[in-house]
Amino acid sequence: MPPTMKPLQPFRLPPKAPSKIGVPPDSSATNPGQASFTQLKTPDTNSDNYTFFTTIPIAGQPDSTVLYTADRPWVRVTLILETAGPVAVGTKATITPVLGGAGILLPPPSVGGVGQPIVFNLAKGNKLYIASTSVNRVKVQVDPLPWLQDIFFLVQAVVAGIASLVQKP
Amino acid sequence: MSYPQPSSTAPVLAGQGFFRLKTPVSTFASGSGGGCPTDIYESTQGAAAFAIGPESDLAHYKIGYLDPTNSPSLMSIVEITPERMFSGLLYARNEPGTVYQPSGRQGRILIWPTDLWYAGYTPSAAVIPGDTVFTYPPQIDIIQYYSNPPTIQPQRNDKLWFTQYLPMTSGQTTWLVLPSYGRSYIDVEFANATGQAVTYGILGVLYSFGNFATQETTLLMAASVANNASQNKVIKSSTDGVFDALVFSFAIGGSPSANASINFRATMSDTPR
Repeated sequence: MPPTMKPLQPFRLPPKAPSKIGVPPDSSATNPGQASFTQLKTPDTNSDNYTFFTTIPIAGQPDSTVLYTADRPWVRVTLILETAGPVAVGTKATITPVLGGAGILLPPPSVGGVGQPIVFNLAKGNKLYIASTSVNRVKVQVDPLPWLQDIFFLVQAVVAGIASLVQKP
Repeated sequence: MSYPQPSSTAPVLAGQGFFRLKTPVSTFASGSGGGCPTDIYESTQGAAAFAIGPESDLAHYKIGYLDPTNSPSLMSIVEITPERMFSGLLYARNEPGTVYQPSGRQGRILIWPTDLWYAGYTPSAAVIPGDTVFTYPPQIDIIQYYSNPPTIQPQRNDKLWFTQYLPMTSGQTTWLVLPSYGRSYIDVEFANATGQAVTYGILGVLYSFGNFATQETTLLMAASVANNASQNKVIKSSTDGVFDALVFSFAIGGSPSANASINFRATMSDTPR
């Protein structure tokens, strides 16, 4: 008897095994292994724009403050200083003293008030810190990185698929 | 010094690209001859440049900033004039512990005029009481840029002083003291329509430190200007000199007519002509 030929099927990720300890309602946003494939395929394309005002440091308080916390897989944060500064930024909290070189000094605006942009590509969970010796205006532009998010989601999906295969008896 | 001090932070919050310190001089070092204005203003903002503003009567200002390399005071000073602005980053050091020495004052940017002034000046020929002296305090006007300054340096305006009326009483002299710091060219027009002859003259004044007498130079000898006549005088720095102030004297020969008027205008310019 000739062997039965099965038509080729598109590759599908196997269904995930239900958790034995239960799943929190919002776990899909925090646990990649629990996220659905449909959610994973939709990168966050929202941009965010605002002006951040630095403050004069006060004795006894932290010298640097959190300017931005990356809440998406990958974002590009563009900073433009609109005043003379000095304003230091960095991905570590210890960027003071401002002129000490531990962070990056934002360049002051040139003629007409247009400053040179400084760009950071941040992975999810990273923070951007800022410190200054005076009140300054900093233009903040947060843009998604869709292509990098796609790669991120794809890797997540593959990992989730492999993990579920491994968990299967 | 004007209180409260003009805020350099407000323009930052408002998105303005510069801070303009514009206020009349109100204090000066003690002494019967005058002295440096003791108005010292501070800025809590960093600067990309400083320039004299368009309405400034004074011609010299100093900018003090914290410089850790300049011991023992930790203060360095630059001076700006109508011909020379300062371009370069100066930071206001508001962080705790960054202070000038030995005063221990916070390391902010300090701004003060260096021209001399004497608020109590009265012309040496004035008869007090009796004569009337009108003195206009000089105006401080400085622009602190938050961005790199324009390539064309800002200039002081040609200042126009203009009046059609001065209170004049027969037998007394009315004096008008106008600041003219650093001006290179001054054109003065006086047209008499008081109904009487007016004795009119111009002095150039240089204030001094402490108790030294104010120096006066006669630029136009006081002489009678008939009714409906006019007098024109051009004062040039190249031939007459530069003065802190000009003093104009008006002495009317009799009672002025009911609709008495004068046409006095002085145009002061930084541009030599």
